[in-house]
Amino acid sequence: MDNELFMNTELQPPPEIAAHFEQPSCSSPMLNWPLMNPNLSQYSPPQDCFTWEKSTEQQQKQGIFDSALSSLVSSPTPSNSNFSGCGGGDGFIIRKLGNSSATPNRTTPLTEFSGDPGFAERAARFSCFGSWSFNGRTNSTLPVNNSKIVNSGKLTRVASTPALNSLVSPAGKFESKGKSKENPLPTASPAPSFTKTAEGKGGKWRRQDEEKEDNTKAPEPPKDYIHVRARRGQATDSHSLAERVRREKIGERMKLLEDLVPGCNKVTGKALMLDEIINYVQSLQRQVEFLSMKLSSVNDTRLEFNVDALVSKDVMIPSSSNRLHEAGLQAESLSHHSYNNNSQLHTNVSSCNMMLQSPVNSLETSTLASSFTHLPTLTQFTDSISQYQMFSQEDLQSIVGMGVAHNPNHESQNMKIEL
Amino acid sequence: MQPTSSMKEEFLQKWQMGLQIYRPLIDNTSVSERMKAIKLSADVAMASLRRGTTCWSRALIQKTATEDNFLVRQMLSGIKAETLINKKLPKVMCHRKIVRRSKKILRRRKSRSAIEEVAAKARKLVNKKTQGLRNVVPGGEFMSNDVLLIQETLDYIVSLQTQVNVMRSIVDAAEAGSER
Repeated sequence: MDNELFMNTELQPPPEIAAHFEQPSCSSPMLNWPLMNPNLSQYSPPQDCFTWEKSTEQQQKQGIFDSALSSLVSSPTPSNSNFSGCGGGDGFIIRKLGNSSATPNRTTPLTEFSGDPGFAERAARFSCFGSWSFNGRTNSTLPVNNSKIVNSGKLTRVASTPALNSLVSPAGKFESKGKSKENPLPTASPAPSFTKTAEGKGGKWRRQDEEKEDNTKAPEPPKDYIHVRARRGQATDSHSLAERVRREKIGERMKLLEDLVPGCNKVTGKALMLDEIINYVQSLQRQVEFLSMKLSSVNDTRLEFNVDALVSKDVMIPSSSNRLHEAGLQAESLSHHSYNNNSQLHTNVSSCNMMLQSPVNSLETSTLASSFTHLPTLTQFTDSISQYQMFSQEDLQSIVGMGVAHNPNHESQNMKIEL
Repeated sequence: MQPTSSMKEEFLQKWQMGLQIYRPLIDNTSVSERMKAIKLSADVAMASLRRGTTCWSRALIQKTATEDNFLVRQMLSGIKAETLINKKLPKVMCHRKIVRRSKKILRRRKSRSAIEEVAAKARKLVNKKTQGLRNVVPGGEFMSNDVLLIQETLDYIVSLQTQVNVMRSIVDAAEAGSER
């Protein structure tokens, strides 16, 4: 069965690609891919990463591959802080695949799957291994690297959509996109590469893809589409397809950006959106500079205490505004927390303890809240203040959360900050 | 994706670590030096949150490494500091110029219709804006792929928001402390 043939060959090249992938570079992985193509003909023995892929059913295989992809995808996400930094970003990704492959359990990668904006993109990148391996096996002269990448990019949609379908919830925004629109395109994607290589096989593939597509996804005029492609689709078609895929990806991401950048809802069109985005990023950068300047000038004499003092101040502030200026209660609750908490800051804190004397003075004299006048004596303060910092884990959250609540208190300042 | 509180915490911790590295040096320095110290440590903290997975973070770390190698090494100790600092970013700039020139030559041959011209102008505008975005986002020049550029921008914006939020709350706290 062609399926199995496809599967068996799919295994070997990816490790090559993985090896190439590890080249640390900022340029898109897509640029690296043409480099890998010459190596496709040489098959290194499959590494551990892909041994588990030897399953019979292609669908299942696709599914496993996709679950691995999802774990891959989830690994570089910012929200996933599971991984200690090991190697560069890309090599890091591949290693993760190796780790996940050790447990060919489909559920574990799924649990790590998080709504990653880059998921579709990364799934696209990684699942394109399949198409390349097939092409390499048939020893076709790789026509145009671009078209291949395009095809692989589309093949990804095939791969990613089953993943999306199976995973459902975490995929979030990309589900709807994946299911409806992408289905005609992805199934079309394997076709061109196959036709270019071996027409007979390509024809078979096409039909299988058609069937698969009909069974699974929304049927569109992809049938006609594929027919066109089977007829030795011209270069322009593949280019335009590539462009279309690219445009959709960009559009997707621009939508995400719209959510992030305030005030983008009324703006339509790429150029204006990009304008807004540039302005926003510049304003954020300027804010950072302004804030750092402010910070450096505010604590003129006490920059070295800056961090600790500020953290302790932060600790005070939410407590003062949260709870109702009841000094006794606060002091006790604070000390309670501090004694319960255990943190690695302790070592730092002990060294900084002495330095905290002066800020503590300022704290006492400051009129942060009436509660502070009722607070226990200075000595008690200095003793517990070191432990107030260990507070920080939970209270940092409240601190930064309080940052919002604080702003109304300092409207004018914030107005300046926000320009 | 909005900045989460865990991100803010992590950023604050890393930033503190960076500032503590500066602690012994700060006594007699000027405001500008202090500002630079604060900003650099904040930048490195922000970039290290991503642990080298994104292009902009690597570019940002390299930029700060050119200004203050010591700080970066200390802050990133244990997290592939050497590879990040010493690795050179690929130079794609020259390629794009060549491509641009060759495109210009090709374009002279093309016949133009009204519609095409409008579309071409729109495309040029978008390309200009994209180039502007590349200038703003650290490491943008090395992202030849538009999709990647926008992805990096997304991530960068979120991180910047985190940074700004944390810094702002600290500044507010400091001001509140010193005011009264």
